[in-house]
Amino acid sequence: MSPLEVIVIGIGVVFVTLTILTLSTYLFGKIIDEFFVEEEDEKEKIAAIVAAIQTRGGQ
Amino acid sequence: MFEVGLFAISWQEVAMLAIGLLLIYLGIAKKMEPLLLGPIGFAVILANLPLTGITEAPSGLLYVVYEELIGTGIIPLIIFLGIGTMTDFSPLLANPKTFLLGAAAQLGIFLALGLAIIVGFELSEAASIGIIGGADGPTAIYAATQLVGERPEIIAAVTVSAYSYMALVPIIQPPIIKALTTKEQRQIRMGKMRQVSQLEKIIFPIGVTIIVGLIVPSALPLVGMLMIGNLFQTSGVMDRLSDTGGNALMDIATIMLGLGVGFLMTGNTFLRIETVKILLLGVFAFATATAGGTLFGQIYYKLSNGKINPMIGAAGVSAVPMASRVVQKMGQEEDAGSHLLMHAMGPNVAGVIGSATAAGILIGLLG
Repeated sequence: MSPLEVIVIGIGVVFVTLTILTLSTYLFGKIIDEFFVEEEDEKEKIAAIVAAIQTRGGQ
Repeated sequence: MFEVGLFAISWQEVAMLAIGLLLIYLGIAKKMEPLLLGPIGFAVILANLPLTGITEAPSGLLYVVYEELIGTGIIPLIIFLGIGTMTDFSPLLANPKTFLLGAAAQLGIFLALGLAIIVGFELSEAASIGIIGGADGPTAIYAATQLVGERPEIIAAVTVSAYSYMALVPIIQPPIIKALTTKEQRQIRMGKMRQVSQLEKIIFPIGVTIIVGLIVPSALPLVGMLMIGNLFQTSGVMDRLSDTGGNALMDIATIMLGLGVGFLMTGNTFLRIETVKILLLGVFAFATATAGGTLFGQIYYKLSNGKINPMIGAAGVSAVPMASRVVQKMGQEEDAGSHLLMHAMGPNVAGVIGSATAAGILIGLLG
């Protein structure tokens, strides 16, 4: 195998692999956000916001 | 018969003792990668004191450590597990397109490979030198042992180069980033990142392992160990494993790595013109990796209509988290209210996966 072939295949496969990872991460992120966002997470977020408001000093 | 080492020492060994002392000095006094340079420096002293037999087959201490633990690739892989327990992929999950910045920064590996061929190295040697551009010590050592296992002088120079330049990231990167970006671009503030759920964090290491394993099987040892460590951390129910992997096990592996690299750094193997060439090629690899990431960042800047600061591309070289800190610092030098750290962490951790993938490809092609 020539050096040029190694370079071309190497760069190509790195980009292909990380492109597939990019798309998969997007896809799974969307699916999880859409269908699997845990209620507890939302509750925790709301609790954090409420706690932040309650502990904030007056203006 | 009893012999006194003092009368048997060669000038090469004296020079290596000085190098060992220098590494210890840099580690302790200058705080350059002290956990690595300390043990490596001391092991260099051990390996270069004459008549000790410590580096000799079949039972010399440093010989056994190197042959059984480093030469087989086990220690770099255990260190990768430890890195996995300490890596937070949330910035990458929040902004997956930064994965490609981690790919672009691997250009340095392949450009350095090409230059190494031009200056006279064989293909597998050039590949192990190119991996320095991945800016990831364990990956560089693992790839070198798999590609040029019978050439300890190459492995020694690649290892020293990879770890030294990682400590020099804050010096090597800024002039390159400045040359490839405008002041206005460096001032760009980036918005808040989305929250990432626990489920995403758990699925990510499993998914990456399966995908990379299917596309680049030879990258699986590195990526798999990184991801199992990460699963320990993200699962929330394997704290003991995560703690052991990221602390005790990592420390043991680091000590063994230091001793093993010290074994490689004897006068005969290290004091060669090839070492100087490899150190210079390492700078080139690092610099072109930074340039590749930054230039790809420029593409993102254009595509996002100026919303993405192109500097974050430079963090696509692994070197976690030093490369991200460089971007953060440079951003704040231009605009004190700019917070690029977490945005740079996305490409930074993608770079770890990218460099491991690139190393796997080269091992698959040439190993």
